[in-house]
Amino acid sequence: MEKLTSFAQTRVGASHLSRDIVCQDSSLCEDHESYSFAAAADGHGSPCYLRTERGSKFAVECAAECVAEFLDSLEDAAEVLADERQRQQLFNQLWRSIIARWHERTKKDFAAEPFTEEELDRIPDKFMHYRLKYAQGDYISAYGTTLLFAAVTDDYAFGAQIGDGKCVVIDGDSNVTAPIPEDPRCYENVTTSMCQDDAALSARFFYLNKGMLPAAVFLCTDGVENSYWNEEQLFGFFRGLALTMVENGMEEGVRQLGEFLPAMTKKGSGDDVSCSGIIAMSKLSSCSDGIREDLAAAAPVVDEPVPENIVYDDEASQQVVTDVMPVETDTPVEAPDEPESGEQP
Amino acid sequence: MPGLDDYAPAVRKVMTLFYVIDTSGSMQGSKIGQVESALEEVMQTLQEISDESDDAEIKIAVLEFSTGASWVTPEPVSPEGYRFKTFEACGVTDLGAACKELDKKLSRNEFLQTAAGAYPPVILLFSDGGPTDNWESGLDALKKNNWFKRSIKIAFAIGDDCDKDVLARFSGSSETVLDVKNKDQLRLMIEKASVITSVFASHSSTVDSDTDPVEISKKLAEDVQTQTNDALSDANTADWDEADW
Repeated sequence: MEKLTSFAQTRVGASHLSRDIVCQDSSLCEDHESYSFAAAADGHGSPCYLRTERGSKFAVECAAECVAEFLDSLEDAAEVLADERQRQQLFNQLWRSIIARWHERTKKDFAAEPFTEEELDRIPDKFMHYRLKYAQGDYISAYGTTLLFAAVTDDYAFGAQIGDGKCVVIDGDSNVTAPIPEDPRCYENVTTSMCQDDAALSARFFYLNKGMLPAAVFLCTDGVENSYWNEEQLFGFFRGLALTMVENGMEEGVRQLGEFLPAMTKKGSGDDVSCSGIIAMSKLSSCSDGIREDLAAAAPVVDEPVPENIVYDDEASQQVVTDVMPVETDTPVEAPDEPESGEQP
Repeated sequence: MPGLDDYAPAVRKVMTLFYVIDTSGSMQGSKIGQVESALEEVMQTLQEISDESDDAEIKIAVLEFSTGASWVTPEPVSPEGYRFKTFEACGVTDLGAACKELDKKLSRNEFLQTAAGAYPPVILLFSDGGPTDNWESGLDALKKNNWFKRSIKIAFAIGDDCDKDVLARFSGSSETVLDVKNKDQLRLMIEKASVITSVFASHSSTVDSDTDPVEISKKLAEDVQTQTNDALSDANTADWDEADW
């Protein structure tokens, strides 16, 4: 039996630190006897989403609970999941259970702690319609978040995603791929979300059978993804992380990741950054020469000092795709543009 | 033992190089011709600088102004993606219209919209005359734009009829206005300025210092002047007319 080890690291974004905003990302990992689990979630950054740090935390926790129940309930899992039609049905059920559980958690949270005036006052005037919506008890957007998760067993691996972020897999031959398809509704700072009405229909899945079991599965939020300017560079980061874990051991590799993420957000996206994953260490070690060669073939790495004094603003904060669609309302959706001169490079 | 700092690729932002080009009637002939060919020639070098930089991807934005102002590049493009443009030099010198366009596009919602973020841009202004529109209000508004404030700006006064005071108001100092006396100097200066400013502005360790951008621009303008002079003195300039246009 291949030993699996999971990890999860989250760090507050450089832009959040400079503006005293809480970290809205969450990540979680669990190693069980028969499987390992990892998840990452990114609560939406726009100031109209009031409790996204709770939303993202609930998302990773609900995913962990539902995956545990799902795997518990499956008999002859490898056989059943090998059948594409049954697999699709089962994954859809699993996803619906996660969405339902997340809604329960948010409902309980809101019931126990309704929005305070202070919270509502934090919503900028140009998002006035959110205040009205929340005041009428329509609270769910306040918890809006993305979610990515993966589980690896001895016989199969699977995962799912809603919203932006990236799932990256290294296979036993050192090939690096992103097995979860892109969602065209996620673009720039707009994302699909757990809070939207059709969330139950908006997940994308991946499944790998026993012959294709991964050496490593990595999950990251868009704060990591956006720190690199293309997918190949992002793959380079995960190749580097994999090698660091192989050469320095899992514990040291995860420690270094925790130290690296603040520099990444400072120099890169400015956003909260989360990275979690599941490592099959002996398999990863076996293909580390290939990873090393691929990394060496990529652009040379230059050690540059981390820049200081970068100032960020809220202009590019994440929004839910359904919230940027035209809405019929008497209240202006947005106030007229503020002068561009207000931006801080 | 190598660690993540050694293995992980550096993150890259985008640095946009803006060319703001006077295409009024007085630029007709070899002036505009030199600008066209210099732009074409320097793009490959800029692409190489971009490819070799771990910190920033370089993008190009070209704005022409004469009677009004319009973007040659509807959005910033990579240097290799820049398509050679034959400018039609005619009309007046609406610098104010150019300032308004620049102000509009110096924004995260416009030309500086990138996932990984943008470094303060470089703005190179080329003109051979004096403005003919209400340029002061356009420039005043532009000067409030924080991206403009943080940008590296060098202006090029082409020929003897240029209003250098206006260009100095744009670039922040008379020391960031370079005289261009003839067509060979113009072509060289475009190339040198493009390369020197891009190399500087696309490195995080240099662009994030607290130094006043005007002071940085002065130093870079001096480098452009020196390197242009060196290149001209290395070449056989005996046959060149000092004011050969």
